[in-house]
Amino acid sequence: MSGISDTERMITLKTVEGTLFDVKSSIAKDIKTVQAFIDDSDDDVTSPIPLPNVFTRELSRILDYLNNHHRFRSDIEKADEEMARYDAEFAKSMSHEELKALILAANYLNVKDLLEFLNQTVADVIQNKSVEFVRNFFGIENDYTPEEEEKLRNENEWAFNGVEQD
Amino acid sequence: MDRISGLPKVILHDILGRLPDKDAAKTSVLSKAWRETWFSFPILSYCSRNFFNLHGKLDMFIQYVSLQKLKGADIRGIQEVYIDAPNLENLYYRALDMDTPFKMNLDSCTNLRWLSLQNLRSPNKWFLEQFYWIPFLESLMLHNCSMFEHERINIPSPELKFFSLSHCSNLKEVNIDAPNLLSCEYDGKA
Repeated sequence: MSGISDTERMITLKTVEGTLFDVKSSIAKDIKTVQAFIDDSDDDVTSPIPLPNVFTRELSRILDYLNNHHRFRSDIEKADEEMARYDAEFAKSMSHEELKALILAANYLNVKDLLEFLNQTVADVIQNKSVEFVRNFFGIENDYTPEEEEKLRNENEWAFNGVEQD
Repeated sequence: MDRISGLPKVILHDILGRLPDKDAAKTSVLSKAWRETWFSFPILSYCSRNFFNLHGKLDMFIQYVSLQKLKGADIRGIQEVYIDAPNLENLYYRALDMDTPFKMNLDSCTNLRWLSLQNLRSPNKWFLEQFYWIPFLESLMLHNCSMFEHERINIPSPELKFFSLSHCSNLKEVNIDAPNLLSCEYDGKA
């Protein structure tokens, strides 16, 4: 692997808006949907790979995340600490809408580590919050009648103690 | 896709799996679709490649669990369990309490070696028939099971080495046909 070539092969990705991103093939490996596309192509992939479900904003964030994580991993000593700090910043920098959009993109692209991290971020956000907060977060319409909801709350009463203020 | 939140169900399940029980349970109140999500939630996010813990809520149903590599399972409180895991070797199942009816189908788990069942009420016909398709069963524990319909149980199990029966009410007769039996425990208090 190492020392064969300094110029790593680049893969070009194309978002819904038509924005092109050049990605090192070592990064593309972490994007399973892209890697599958490459594996299925007989020849070297020269033309941009279209990503019909991924928008520029999300792809740019995902590549940012992957590039940084690759960089951290190359420096074993500081890797964990720096990665944790970067991840915390990354999670904080997103609005709830951005977080959800990123989950959809990471899911489509099948970037496992990132998806797990994002799901955990959601879990951290909604943990110990009121039902109203969580409804709001996911954009859920309450389709219970007040009586039905009351009944369910009573059935699950243990779960409603000690909820944080939103 | 959950049409309400826009996130696929597999993602919602993964998120639920990362929440403490309390918060996960609360999601059943969000909406009807989420109640479904909660009920169909198998907590598989917690499972490693070959073992999982399934600790159910009150009226939870597991529709179907299919895991080729699963070796062991610890299932508590789930009312309906269908496990399709041909390599499953250890199964621990505990019902919530004896008043809760349960259903279990382990037909494909032909490699079971260790089976422990607790709090079952009237493990009727299927239960007795199970033993015919568990050829390699080595250890069987029945605890706090009420043999309501079957006062007599037959346990034909050529490989059975350890058998333990405790606090099982209504049981009058146990026929064990197990030539390799090494240990047999019985505690009759109900």
